Amino acid sequence: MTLLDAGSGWQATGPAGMPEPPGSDEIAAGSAAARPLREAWRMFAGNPLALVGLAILAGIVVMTIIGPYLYPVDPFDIVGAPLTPPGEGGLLFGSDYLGRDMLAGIIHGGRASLTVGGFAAIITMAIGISIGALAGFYGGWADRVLMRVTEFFQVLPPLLLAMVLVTLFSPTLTTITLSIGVVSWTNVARLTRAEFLKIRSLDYVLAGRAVGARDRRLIWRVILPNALPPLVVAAALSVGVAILFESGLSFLGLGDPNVMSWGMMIGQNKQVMLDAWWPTTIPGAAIFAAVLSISLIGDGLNDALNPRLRRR
Amino acid sequence: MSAAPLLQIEHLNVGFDTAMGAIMVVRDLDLVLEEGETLCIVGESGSGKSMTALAIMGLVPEPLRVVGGGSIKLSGEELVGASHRRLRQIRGKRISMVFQEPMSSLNPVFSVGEQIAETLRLHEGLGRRDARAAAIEMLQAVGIPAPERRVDDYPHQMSGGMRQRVMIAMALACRPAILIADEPTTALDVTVQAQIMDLLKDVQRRFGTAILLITHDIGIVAEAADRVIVLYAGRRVEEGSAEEVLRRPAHPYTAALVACAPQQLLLGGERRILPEIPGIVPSLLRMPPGCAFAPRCARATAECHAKAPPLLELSAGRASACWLATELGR
Repeated sequence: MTLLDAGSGWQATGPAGMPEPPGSDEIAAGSAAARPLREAWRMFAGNPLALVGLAILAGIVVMTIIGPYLYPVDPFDIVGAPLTPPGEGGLLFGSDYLGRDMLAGIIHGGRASLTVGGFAAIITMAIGISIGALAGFYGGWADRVLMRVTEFFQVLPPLLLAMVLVTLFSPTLTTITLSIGVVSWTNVARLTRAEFLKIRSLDYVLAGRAVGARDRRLIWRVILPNALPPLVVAAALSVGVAILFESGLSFLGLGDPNVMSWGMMIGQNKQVMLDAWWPTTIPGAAIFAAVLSISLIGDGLNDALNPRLRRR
Repeated sequence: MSAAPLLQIEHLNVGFDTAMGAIMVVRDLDLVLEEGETLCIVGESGSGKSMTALAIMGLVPEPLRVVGGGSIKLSGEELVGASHRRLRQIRGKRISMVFQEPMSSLNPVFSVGEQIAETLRLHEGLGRRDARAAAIEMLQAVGIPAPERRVDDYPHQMSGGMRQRVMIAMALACRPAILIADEPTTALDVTVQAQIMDLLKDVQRRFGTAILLITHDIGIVAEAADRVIVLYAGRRVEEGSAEEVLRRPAHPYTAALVACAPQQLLLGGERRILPEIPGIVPSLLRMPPGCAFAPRCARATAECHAKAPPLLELSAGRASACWLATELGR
């Protein structure tokens, strides 16, 4: 009750940019404003750090999508002398230890990093939510079996397991993405399970049963939508984690050798780190910017979707 | 013995086994609900009244279950042991339920219209558009003003009374034969309580729904019930037409409940201290050997403490489980 009152209280004291005449009878506008998603968006848009994160990420995404057309240089082509400093020889970011264009590497590498990050996060969420939802909803032996499986994956060091999987199945973008997804779903499963355990005993789930809803419907239509806020945050953060993971694998030389990625750039140039700063620092900064922006977005989503914070 | 009654419960036992023996929440309950009538189940917290309701819905929560060969028949069809699939078809379609807490019984992330429509789509196979129209119609039927606008409201935009109206609309959407209302007004303001009770009576008249009303409030019994069953510690202690039970209680527990109702004081005009029933409902683990109410009963005799009284039929449809029943009921 207090939670719901808090929601409307927040609306009343809400953003100053939306002055509503006190006597306004605009019920239609009122109900539109109260739609949970719009409320959350308004909350998110009022958070400057989250907007900065969104702007950075949008910039990176746009760069990786249209960059290769605006700057059609193959990142594997040798275009100049090795270790040309940034700005010289017509190379904005300089060249690496083989004389390859760093700017082309950043643009193309971003494609690989973001693609792997995005799809690995989708796999992570799909496995984690399915297992957590079944365990939390049914409880009993289903819960025990699924949680033991989760713990089994949890005790294996994720990077080692991913390395084993990638070497077993030869490193391509697909196997790397799958491996990252397979090693990082455990936290999502535990989070989902906890939410389901909490929500499944609430009155509206019983009310759902009382109108004859079947389990599938209760899981996906009744409980999951109410469990989404923390899961959306987890999804955003898992994109960042997956990007770091891919960079780590590439750094160790386990990336797809045919696809340029930020991690690979750092890994291959680490030998010249003491002679030239840019071949490692620039891709490092790119990874930093991408992961930071995603973390900022995740924090912003957390604040926007958390009803307890909405009260303030 | 003509047609089967709408709802007939025989020897219903709900309980679970523990290391300290079986704990019974509902014991040997019989009841009959006929079409279009209102039957009240009255009792304190822990008397087993809500469990009875959930047992009818087939929703008794773990680890409780229906034990000991009891039977719940809906128009002659046995529900105890029926398949999950069959029970799902019945819930919301033939038997619906309204819960105590309108604040938490609606899903906060869907509009009330979507939630009513969902029931209709589930049971009647209506399309999105038809279901929405039917939802608006139901909102209108339960007295929500401007239903075509409120249909898109989310639960948190409504007051408690409004939400309980929505719950009733949801429960009645498929025109069930039976509506189980579990303390439907307990969480509401007094003024709203009266409105909701009026609404229940109104929809009962219009749709011919039988209502199984679960309450602890003797005032609601007086206002709404045709017949009443009084539960104490999971057992029936008294049963009969509401008028007779309230006027001449044949069990000391019922008599005490009636005396505790504040309405009695209002009618009396003078100010006096509201009487209370001393003591608490006995623990289900430590039931006294005799009558469960004996430790709190002012009139208990040695016999009451030693031996549990059977439910004695006093007249047609009128029964009491008290050794002093015949004396009291006169």
